[in-house]
Amino acid sequence: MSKTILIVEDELSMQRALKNKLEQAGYKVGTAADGMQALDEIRRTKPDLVLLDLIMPKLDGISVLRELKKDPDLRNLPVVILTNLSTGDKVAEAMQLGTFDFLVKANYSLEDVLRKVNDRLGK
Amino acid sequence: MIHRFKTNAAAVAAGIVLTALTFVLAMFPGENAAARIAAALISSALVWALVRVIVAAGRRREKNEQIMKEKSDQLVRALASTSETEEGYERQALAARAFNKEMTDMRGALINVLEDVEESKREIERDYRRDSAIFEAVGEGLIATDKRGVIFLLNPAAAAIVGIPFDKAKGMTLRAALKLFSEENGAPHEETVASAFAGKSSRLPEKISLLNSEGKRTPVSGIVAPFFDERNRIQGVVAVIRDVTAERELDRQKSGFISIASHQLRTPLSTIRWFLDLLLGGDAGALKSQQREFLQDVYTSTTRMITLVGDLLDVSRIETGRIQMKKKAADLRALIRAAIGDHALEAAGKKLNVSLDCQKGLSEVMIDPELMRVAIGNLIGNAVNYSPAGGEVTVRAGKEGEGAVVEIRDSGIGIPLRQQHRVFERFFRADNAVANETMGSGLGLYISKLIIDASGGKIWFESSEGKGTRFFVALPSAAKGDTMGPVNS
Repeated sequence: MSKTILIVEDELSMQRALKNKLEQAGYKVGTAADGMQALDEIRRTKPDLVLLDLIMPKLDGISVLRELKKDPDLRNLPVVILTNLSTGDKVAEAMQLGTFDFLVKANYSLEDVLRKVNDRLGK
Repeated sequence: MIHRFKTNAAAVAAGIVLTALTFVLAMFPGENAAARIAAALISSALVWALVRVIVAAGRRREKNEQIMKEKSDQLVRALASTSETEEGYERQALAARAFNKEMTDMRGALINVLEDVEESKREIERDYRRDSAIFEAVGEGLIATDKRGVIFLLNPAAAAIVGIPFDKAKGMTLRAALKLFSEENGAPHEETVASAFAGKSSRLPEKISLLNSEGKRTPVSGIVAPFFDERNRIQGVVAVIRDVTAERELDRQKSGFISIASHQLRTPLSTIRWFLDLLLGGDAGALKSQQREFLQDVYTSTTRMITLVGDLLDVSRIETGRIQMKKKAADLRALIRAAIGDHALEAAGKKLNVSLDCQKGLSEVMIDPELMRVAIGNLIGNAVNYSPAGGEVTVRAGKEGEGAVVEIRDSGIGIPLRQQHRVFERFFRADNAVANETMGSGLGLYISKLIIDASGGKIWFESSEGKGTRFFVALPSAAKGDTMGPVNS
């Protein structure tokens, strides 16, 4: 059975490009456009991995991470953080919540993102 | 009178001898007569000598009186005779004329002197008025003190900054009027003024605020310099200060704008590139060769724009100190590996071999690992970009004193000698780099130098056009050094 990935990204065109790439690679892909929606989707669909943007309306990525860390069922859910921020800022904040993979969107091609996802899911 | 004195003297001398004899015979009855008479005679001689001295002084005074009287008589006679004869009259007239001329000359000289003094006074007045006008009009705050630090000059601009008018500031000490604080730790800043009183002129460091008389803080820049007398002794100091509130605000707005613009630009640019990824990867169907070629050009330009925007963002953050350096002991080897990894794709694309050679026992360095990865990454990126396909890039790290030195060596186009002094300038790109490779913002080395300098490190290079370049980065050991500080300090 193919693994499921939830893309949490408020920029819809980016979301679409990612979804396209990952589906072509054989993953089942769900999407969410803000933090609230992301938490709902995670609880509802129990994805194998979450691609999480940091800056989003309603509830930002850091808050989503905090919620996940509080929930014993979701604490170990693999998360790859997607960001357009460079060094510092919120990245340091996220790092205090655990070890995550970081992908700076501007610096990575879709191929790089796919490679990272494959690594995390042992594919 | 003289005769009478002689008679008197003989009588006095006989009297003295008799008195002395009687006195000695009465006082020393047991001694032999000869000794007693000798003693009496010696005593008499002493008393006589004393009397002579007194008399001689009286005589000298009489003689002087005599001479003065003779001279005045002579003068009276001479005056009488000259006024009575023709020749005398001539002589008198000549003397009078000479005297007159002398007086006229002296008067002239005196007038000249007075005129000079008057002119000097006017000159001083003119200078004073001119200098006052300059001091009043100049936009910079000027405060001057004597050598004890007591203010004797404070122009309106300075009065506005410190909040004290000149009539109140006059007589105050500089220390009391110019209350400076470091914005970084809030501590009073006294070093610059102290160093001026020690004879050395210096600028205020960055991020200094002045607390005015109403308790308001104003960011200031400035310089404090001593002035000396002709023997090079300190006579006082002059402080030139400027309110930089407007500049700060402008700078903040500029950085804010760059930061927002960069963030906003990055998202759509990244999106464009991802869709290009999809198209070029055949995810939307096979491409004709010309379609692929065109899309490849779009991809290159987009990548270039993303790099430029990212660099601008880094520069604005570093320059405004918004990135705090989080220095910690770091493993240099791991950091260099990561930086090489960041450029692995480009290197593979050019079939370039990037080798790493780390000396054993390399001690940890005190740096911000995230930022240093960017700094060293830029150097590796340049080495890769400017080396020919199939070339060689060597990264070496070795011990250097307490710390470490990283060398990044390439076999690339090199930097022309005439442009080497400009290599670390913002937006500078060497002519051969522009000709060789269209990508690049001219910000990479500038950013690297900012980061390395702020880390207490050093960057330098050796380059030969057409042969290659070696960049060196010296980094401080983790064994010493502070742990926090803004990047642009």
